Amino acid sequence: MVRGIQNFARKFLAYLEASLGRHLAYGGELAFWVLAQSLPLVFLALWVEGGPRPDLDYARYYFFAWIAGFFHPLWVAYELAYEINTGRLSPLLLRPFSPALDYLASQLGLLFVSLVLGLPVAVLFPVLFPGFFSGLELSRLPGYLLYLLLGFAFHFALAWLIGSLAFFLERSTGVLEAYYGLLYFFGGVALPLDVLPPGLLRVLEWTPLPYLAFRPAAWAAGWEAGTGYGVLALWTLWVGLLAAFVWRRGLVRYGAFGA
Amino acid sequence: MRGYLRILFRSLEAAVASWTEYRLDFFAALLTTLVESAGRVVAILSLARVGVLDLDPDRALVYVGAATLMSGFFVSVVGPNLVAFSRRLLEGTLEYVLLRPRDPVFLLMTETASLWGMTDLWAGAILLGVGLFRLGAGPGEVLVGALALGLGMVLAYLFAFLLALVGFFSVYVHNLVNLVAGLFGAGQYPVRAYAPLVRALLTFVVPVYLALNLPVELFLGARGVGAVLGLFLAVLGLWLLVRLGFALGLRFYTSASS
Repeated sequence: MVRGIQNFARKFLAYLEASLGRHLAYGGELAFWVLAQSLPLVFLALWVEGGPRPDLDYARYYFFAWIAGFFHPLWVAYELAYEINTGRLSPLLLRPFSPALDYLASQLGLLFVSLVLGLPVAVLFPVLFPGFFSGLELSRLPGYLLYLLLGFAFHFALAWLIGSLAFFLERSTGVLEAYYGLLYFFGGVALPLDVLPPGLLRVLEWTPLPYLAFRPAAWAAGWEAGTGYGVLALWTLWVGLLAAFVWRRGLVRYGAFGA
Repeated sequence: MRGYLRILFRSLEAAVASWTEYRLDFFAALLTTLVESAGRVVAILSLARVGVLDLDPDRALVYVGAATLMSGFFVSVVGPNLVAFSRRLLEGTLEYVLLRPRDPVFLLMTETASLWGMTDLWAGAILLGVGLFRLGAGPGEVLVGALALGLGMVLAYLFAFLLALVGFFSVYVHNLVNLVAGLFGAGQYPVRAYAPLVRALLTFVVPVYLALNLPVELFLGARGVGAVLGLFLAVLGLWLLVRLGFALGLRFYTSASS
């Protein structure tokens, strides 16, 4: 058992290393992606100009919402759908463990490289907002990290579900564009959700959306916002189960060239 | 001139024909537009309610409508053409365009179009129309504003194309397009509401103010008609700059056959 785990860990680390190298090779392209990912930070300039809270509150909120955005591995859906549609999934299926591990390793490598590429943007915060770090509560860090972990898991499951639908539909990833819109406006990426009409916010709290950017960022920034790990965990669980189901059913249907 | 118009319609026709093959995409696009338009409207009204923006709801609709139209233009025209352009550079197939007896920059900018942005264009027109109707805008303002917004779209396109010229040196342009589209997305709010640093960025570095806010101000009758002339001159200047950059870039271009 222990040997098995060690064996597995060694293989997975090799995957990670390969993925890291691959993403580093495309550093230039990724730099643009990180910049595009940083665009919502522009809206911070609205809040420091006319928002009701102190500037530092908004700076911290946007900073932590921005970091959370890197933990949303939605690209998996596009890659998986592409590989299913083109039959490139076949060689991955021949390996002695699930293709999900390939994607997981790839996304972890991407996460690491994009966090490093994001450093120049991150440095701007303490420069533009003196006292940025000094007021943060360290005790809120574990809660924030738990949100990031759950957010990563939820998006991985969602991406796997949407990608797996490519077994049944010619194009499955179109719906992701709509999801990006939801996350952007109703997840707390573009603006803190506490300014939305209260009725709308109460409805949103039943969805995973506020727990992916708004709640984590508000929590880490020290705002008086509740937590909701349970809601996100439940969503992750059932989307994950659905994804596993669709994946298995899809594999039965799957036939590439030569199969 | 007529030759150019014919080319424009032919490439549009071909693009539309190829995109109607995938009907599911249309519903996905419609869903995306509904979500994003709702998001934009809720966001701007919320910002106005808490006092971050000094706007009444009808004027807010005009701002959001113009930004949605711009977004639709980026998705349907700017993005696909820039991606096609970068692919030509990558594969060394720019010759097929250079050999044609028309202006290559024009041909590259009108090569293709995507139906994805169509729903955004409708939604933008509706939002803009509702806002203007409720404000009781006169036909003169609507005409001048529409002209200015058209010029603003061309200006934004030229700006994006200018940046895409880095494709002569680096292979990835797709994320650059997202970046520029996102920056123009910041123009869904009046640029003057941003903090000074970002205000300067969106006015002088990226022409968000010129391309989006100025047309809206013309729609609202807050500017003299002379502003349209200024906008036209800006388009002309940027067009010359793009031509210059393209000619420079060509010196670095080597195709598969050369």
